[in-house]
Amino acid sequence: MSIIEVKHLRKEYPNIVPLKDVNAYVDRGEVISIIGPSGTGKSTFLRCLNRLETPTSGQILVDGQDMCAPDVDLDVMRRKMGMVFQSFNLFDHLLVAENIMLGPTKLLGMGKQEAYEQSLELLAQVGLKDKALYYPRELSGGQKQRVAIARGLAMNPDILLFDEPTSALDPTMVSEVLSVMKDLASRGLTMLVVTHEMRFAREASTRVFYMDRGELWEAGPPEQIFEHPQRQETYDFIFRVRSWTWKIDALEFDYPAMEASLHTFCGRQFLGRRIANELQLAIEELTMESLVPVARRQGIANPNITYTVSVAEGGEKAHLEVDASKLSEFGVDFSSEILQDEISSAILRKMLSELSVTKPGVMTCTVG
Amino acid sequence: MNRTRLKTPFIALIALAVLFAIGWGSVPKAVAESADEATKTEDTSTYEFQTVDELFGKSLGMISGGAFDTILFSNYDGFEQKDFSYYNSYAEIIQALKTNKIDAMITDLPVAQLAVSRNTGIGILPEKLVEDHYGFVLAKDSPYTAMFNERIAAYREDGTIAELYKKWTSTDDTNKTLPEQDWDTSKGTLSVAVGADSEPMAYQIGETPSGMTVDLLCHIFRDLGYGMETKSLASGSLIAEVQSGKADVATSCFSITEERKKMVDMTEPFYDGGIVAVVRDTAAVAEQEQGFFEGLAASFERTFITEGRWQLILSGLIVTLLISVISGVAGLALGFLFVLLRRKRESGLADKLIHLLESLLGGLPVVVVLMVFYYVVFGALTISGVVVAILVFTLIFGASAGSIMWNAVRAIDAGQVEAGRALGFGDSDTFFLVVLPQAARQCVPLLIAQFVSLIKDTSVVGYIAVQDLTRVGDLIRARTMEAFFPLIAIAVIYFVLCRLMAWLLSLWAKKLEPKKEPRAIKGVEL
Repeated sequence: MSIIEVKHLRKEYPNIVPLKDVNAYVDRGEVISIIGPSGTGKSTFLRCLNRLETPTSGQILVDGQDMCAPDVDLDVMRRKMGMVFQSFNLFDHLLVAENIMLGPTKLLGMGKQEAYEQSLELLAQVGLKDKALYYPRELSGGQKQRVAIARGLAMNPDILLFDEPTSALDPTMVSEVLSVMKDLASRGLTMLVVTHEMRFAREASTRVFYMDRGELWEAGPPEQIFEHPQRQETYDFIFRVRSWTWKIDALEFDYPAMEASLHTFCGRQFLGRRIANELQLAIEELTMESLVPVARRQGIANPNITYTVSVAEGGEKAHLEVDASKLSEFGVDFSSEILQDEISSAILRKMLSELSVTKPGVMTCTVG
Repeated sequence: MNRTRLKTPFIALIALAVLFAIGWGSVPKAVAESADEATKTEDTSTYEFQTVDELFGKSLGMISGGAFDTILFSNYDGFEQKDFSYYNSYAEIIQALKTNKIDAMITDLPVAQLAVSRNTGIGILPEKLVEDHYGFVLAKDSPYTAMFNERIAAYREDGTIAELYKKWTSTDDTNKTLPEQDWDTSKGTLSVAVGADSEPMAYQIGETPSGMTVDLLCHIFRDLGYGMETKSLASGSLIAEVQSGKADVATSCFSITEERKKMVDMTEPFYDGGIVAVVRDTAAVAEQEQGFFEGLAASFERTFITEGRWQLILSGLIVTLLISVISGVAGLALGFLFVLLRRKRESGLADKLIHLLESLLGGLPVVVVLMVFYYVVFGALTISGVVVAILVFTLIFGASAGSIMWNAVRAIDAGQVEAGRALGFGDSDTFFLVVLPQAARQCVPLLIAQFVSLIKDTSVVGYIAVQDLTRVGDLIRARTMEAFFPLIAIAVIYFVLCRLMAWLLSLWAKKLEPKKEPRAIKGVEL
């Protein structure tokens, strides 16, 4: 039986309709990833489930109880559904352990000592047992989010809702939170996760919801959504989020921004540190040692180079495409100009397992 | 942080002491002399002015709430309104005269005699400006006026009034006491508002309103069979006190004028004095210079020791503390109530009303609010000034503290509330467990500052006949006719009081800070 059923859910604001007509169900023990472009109602959908938002119309059944019924005791229903927020929302005036103890002691009547022991247990599960007596402000973002998860678990909920739990985190901290979430997923807790982490959606979910423009466009197992999407909108989105593009249109371009953006993308796609570093090295080598100096020598103010990185099938490798066709108009050729440079090619060749020049000035290779 | 906070008061104290020393050096010393000695000095040739004509166009100082200006206008054509300055105490006028801010002080003969006896470098202009007659002030068409007139006439006749005048202007202060109220008071008790700074007619000895006119009133009341209840007020407030029915009789140096008679009843004169001008004596200015420390010691003695004035200061300090602390606590509670009401529905009716109250109280001078409450809102009630002051300051502090707390509550991130609600906490649980503790940390320093500011704001309660620290300072200045020392003494007491309060409260506020080492959780064995 479904633990959550959503029928014709609609949410209107004076100027915008974030949810038009959403129908969905979630079975007990399922892990649902909700993906889609920003600002398309994913968070609103999640927040309607525990009634942080009040739907305009429609029905939400949680454990058979209508969450919109006038006599529903929301405080009691919410105790069954933990929530983890994008901005953590830990109680800053309380110690980490106290954050976790607050619900059980005040709402479930648990003794303080017992609640404390439980908080230590939960902290151990998220790898933070030694931080019990810290204040939230003394923790990193990733640690805060893991505490927030422990706080949600302390109420022993049937359902855990995650509202973009890693969006506010540095790329380096994303994985520590995701690995905790994966662990929870494998333990049979019902989870709904609004996320931009495609690798997590793909590997940890039982089903993926693709939401766009206030509607649930497609729901299905990860293989369906990521490999064989049934709808064009899903396909376009999946392709878009699985690739990274950067264009250099000036000789004095912002290389640090480009590097940071690449790492963010790699982190989000779980490409791993090795692949990310190799991609960065390859791009840096090509750009700083070869393409830009060549353009400078030729007196080209706008080299117009486009880099595209996309995740290969299976998510273990990355494709890199470098489009320098503008330079090739000036006689720059990858085979002649770059690969003949001995230092560069030696490093590049080692890194790039398959390198091919598809047309003048355009090169592709696979990293990983 | 803590060290610098402690340092600041010390630096300020040193700065005050330096200011004090500089100020002291420039002020001619007042010497305690008897009235008899003053009258001995008959050589008036060294006075800056000799005749009334010479004062035309000069700058003249007088007490506010008096009728001197009207009387001068009706007697002379040479004076103009622009030449008059009004002061709240004789000490200030004398100080202004001595420091050349004005050229003459216009006042009653008895006050002038006292002023000259207690100060060097000033004397009474040989030519009297106006003959003058003093009477008591009663409410318009008061039933007591005729009875008073009858008694005054009798006492003029039998020489009692002359005797009383002699008693209250003598050098022997030990005699200056009022008769015990041991007579039959079966007809009831009347309330008398006594001017606080018109020695010897009406002033304060210690905390008791005294003076020749009060003594005379005792005689009259005894004859009429009424009990007497006195309170001391600044001259400017006396007539309003009678008009609003808060007092039955007012006494001070009230000249009998047609203008006054239109608004209140005035009795027949019990004293025929006159209006005189006190001017600078150029010969005496340099005389009587005392050493710095002797002068300081003499001032200290006059301000604190004579007549047990330290008790007066202590009682003023207690009144100031009482009003501040009660208003502070009650205002905090009121402000919190405002927060709770506003939380129910943001921008609801309660919110609008509280906002209105805030802007109303924030947009009016404290002293105006205070007087409106005392004379208008509670005008018809017999209610002590202290109670009105506490009510008004509770409202004012409630409004400002409420707005500070409300802003702090609203500044707490909405995510905190969502996290509380999502855990399953109800609305008020979330407020008290999550929002309030965090908001408190934000607003406590502001509340402490606001409270210190409240202590300072209470210094205007003298306007409604409450004897707080500032008011007793004024009273002492009125008695010693010395502007400088009592003012600085009161300033130092205020400063120490405010810093002490701020320091005590900040000690307490530290408990709210989350930094506690070693860390512990109440009720849990770690």
